Amino acid sequence: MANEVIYKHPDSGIVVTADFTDDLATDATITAGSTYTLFGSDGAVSSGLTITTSVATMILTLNISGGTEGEDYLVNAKGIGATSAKTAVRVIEVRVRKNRGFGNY
Amino acid sequence: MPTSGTIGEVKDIVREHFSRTQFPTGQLDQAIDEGRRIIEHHGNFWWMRTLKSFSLVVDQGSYSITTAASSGLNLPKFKDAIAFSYTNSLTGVNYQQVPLGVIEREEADSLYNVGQDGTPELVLVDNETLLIYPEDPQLAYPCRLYYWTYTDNPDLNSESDVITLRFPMALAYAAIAWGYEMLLKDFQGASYFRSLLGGQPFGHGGELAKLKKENFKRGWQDMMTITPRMGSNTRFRKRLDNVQIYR
Repeated sequence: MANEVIYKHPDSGIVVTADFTDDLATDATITAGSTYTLFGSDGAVSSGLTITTSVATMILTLNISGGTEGEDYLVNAKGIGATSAKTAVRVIEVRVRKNRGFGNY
Repeated sequence: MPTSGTIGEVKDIVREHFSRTQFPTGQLDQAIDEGRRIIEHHGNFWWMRTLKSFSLVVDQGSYSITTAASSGLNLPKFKDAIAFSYTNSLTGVNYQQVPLGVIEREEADSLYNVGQDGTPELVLVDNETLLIYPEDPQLAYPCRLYYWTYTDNPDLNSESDVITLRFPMALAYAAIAWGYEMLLKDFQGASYFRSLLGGQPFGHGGELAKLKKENFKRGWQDMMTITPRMGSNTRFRKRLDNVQIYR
């Protein structure tokens, strides 16, 4: 189950943050190599959303734009602890809708 | 707003009944899969017809239907057989039909000798095995098995098929009923949506009856129909829109 569900208009750009503070309790920062993997509704790796990332302390910030109307994307945001080298994953479901999503635009 | 007829739209309809975030997508996919299973258990529908072409193996009379083991047919979604035909030469194009499933295996076993040679005369489906009689074909005869198969929902939200395009509410009602039972533990609510799906008694109304009526019309459209105009059976003429024909 996704940690968070977000509705997004295909034309909008949104900012989503993944905070790994609770998942990587022994770390103070996550590495710059912390990244994401995107999946489509068929479970296959997708490039349907345009995503850029940045890292600050324990937070991975994802700038998300684009997407196909009607599609549900799963963003697996991966934080790698700078000290522990452990990987934590937070799952964000992004549903791209023109007319059915309210809020989060 | 025009409807898209996609599987994604069915998911959205279901979600709107549970708040958008309460029904996890993984469970929702399972619920919609269950909806398709309910529909396809209820009848053999036109989209489930398909064909498998294969060749017999010399001196082999038994073939697994669901696996590829020992030259099996590898049809894991096989539901039931419709017809079987073969051609008498390796390069032949003239297929002839062979009786399928007209007697039980125990009867066929007593009619044909063990290791009897010959061309296929009888075909049986026994559990998940296709049996050819006599059991030792002497050539790798090209064959065709016409059968009903279970189908899957489209994978991508943007994809569609005949159910999502023409009968989307059948899937939606089934998934909502599943959600009321599994998520909300509300059996009364589930019962309401189940009756929208299949009526009372189940299968005699709702979306299932629409599907069956369409299936019945398609099944009969090219066949000769005989309607009694006089005599004792005149009173028993059935209309296509009479769902009681499915009893």
